[in-house]
Formats: sequence, C-alpha cells, structure tokens
Amino acid sequence: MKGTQIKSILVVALAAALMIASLAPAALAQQEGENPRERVSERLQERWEKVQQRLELIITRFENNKERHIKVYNEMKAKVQQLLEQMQEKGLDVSKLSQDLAAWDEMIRRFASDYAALMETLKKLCSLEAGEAEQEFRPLIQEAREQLRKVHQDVMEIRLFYQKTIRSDIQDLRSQLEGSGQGT
Amino acid sequence: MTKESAAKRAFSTVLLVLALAAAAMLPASCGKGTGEDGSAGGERSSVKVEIEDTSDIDALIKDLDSSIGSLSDEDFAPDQLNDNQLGW
Repeated sequence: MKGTQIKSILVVALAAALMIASLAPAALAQQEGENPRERVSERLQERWEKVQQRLELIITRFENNKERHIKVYNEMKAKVQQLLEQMQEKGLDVSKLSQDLAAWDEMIRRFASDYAALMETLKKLCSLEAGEAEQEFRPLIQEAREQLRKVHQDVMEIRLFYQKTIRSDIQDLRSQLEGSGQGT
Repeated sequence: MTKESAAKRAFSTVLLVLALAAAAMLPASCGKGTGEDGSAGGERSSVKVEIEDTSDIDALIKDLDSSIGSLSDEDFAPDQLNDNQLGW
C-alpha cells in the first residue's frame, strides 16, 4: 500500500471519529430529556428542590431563634415576678409593675401566636410540589413575608417595652425601697 | 356457645379495648413534648431572685439588661424571605 493511500485512510478515519464525537452529546441529550417540555419540568423540579432546601434551613433557624427568645422572655418574666412578690411583701406599691408585667406577658403571647402563624405558612410552602409551586408560591410567600414583618415588630415591641416601661417600674420600686428605709 | 368460642370472643374484646386505648392515646403523644403550641408559657424560672436591698435590685436590672441584650431583632429580619435568599 502506498503512503498516500495510508494517509487518505487515516484522514477518513479521523473525520469519521470527529463526526461521531460531535453527534454523541446530541444523542445523549435526546435520550435524557425526550422533549423540551420534559426538560423544562425537570429544571423546575430541580429549582424547586433547592428552594425547599433553603426554606427548610430558614425554618430551622427561625425555630432555634424562637426557642431562645421565648426562653429568655420567660426567665425575665419569672425574675420580675419574684421581685414584684418580694416588694409586695415589704409593703411597697407594686400595682404599676403588676399591670405592666401583664401587658408585657400579653406582648410575648402575641409574638408566640404570630410566630406560629408564620410557621404554618412556611411549612405549607415547603410541602408544595414543584407543579403547585408555580401557581401557589407567590401568594404564600407574600403572606409569610407579611407574617414575618409582624413577628419582627413584636420582638422590637417586647424589647422596647422592657427598656422603656418595665425597667423604669423596677427603678421606681428601688426608689420606694430606699425611701422606706429598708433599702440598705 | 362452646368454651372455645367464648374464649375467642373474650380475646377479641380484649384486643379491641387495647386498640381503642392505643388510638385514644395517639393524639396526646403526638402533641406532647413538642412545645410548639405557640404559648409563651408562664412557667417559673429555676433562677431564684432574692431581693434584700437596693444593690440586689441594681444587680437584677443589670441581669435583665444583659438578657434582653442577648436577643437580636434581626433574628426575625424580614429580608430573610426575600427572593434572592430563596433563589426562586
């Protein structure tokens, strides 16, 4: 066989190999997603699964934060309640603190209730199927955002009420105790 | 009624009673221990406060300030549910 013949065979073989290599990905893609609609559906499914994972992380974070907040609020309330009882035993006027403590407790309960409503919406969101999410995600996430704004507002109010009102009531009791001659 | 059939009937009655008791306990056990009823609770803290004089009140105020300061409003910041956080 002459050298030029060998060269021609090699060129043809190379061209054939290149053609096969260029056709392979297209053939594979055709096998995986039979038609464009299926591929869109697959992509939607993958995207929704990622959103669900993020939602689950957010829910876990919120749950931990809520537990921490409730624990601290309850401990604070219990301490203030003990102070109130002991000052009452000493004959001091605790009516203002008693009234404000009840209002503060109501705020904490509202926080817990608003938080529970938020969780319900987030869990409903998380349980949607990819196909449902296309229609239902927007209204539900809007509702959850509104509920989260309320929860955030509740937390700020609880903190401010302690700083502006409860703390001031306790300082007033301190003055009363000092004035009663039992303070030292 | 034979002895055997009476025994079978008694056995199935016992099983039915056990099944009913288990069914009645089920909702209680599912709802118990989660602490997720949303109630703020009014349970007393294990921390004991003893107020003898004004210095005890000063210490209590300091303690309460520190407790409230340990919590951040940003724990529930509204931007946590933004589209870019969720990737939708």
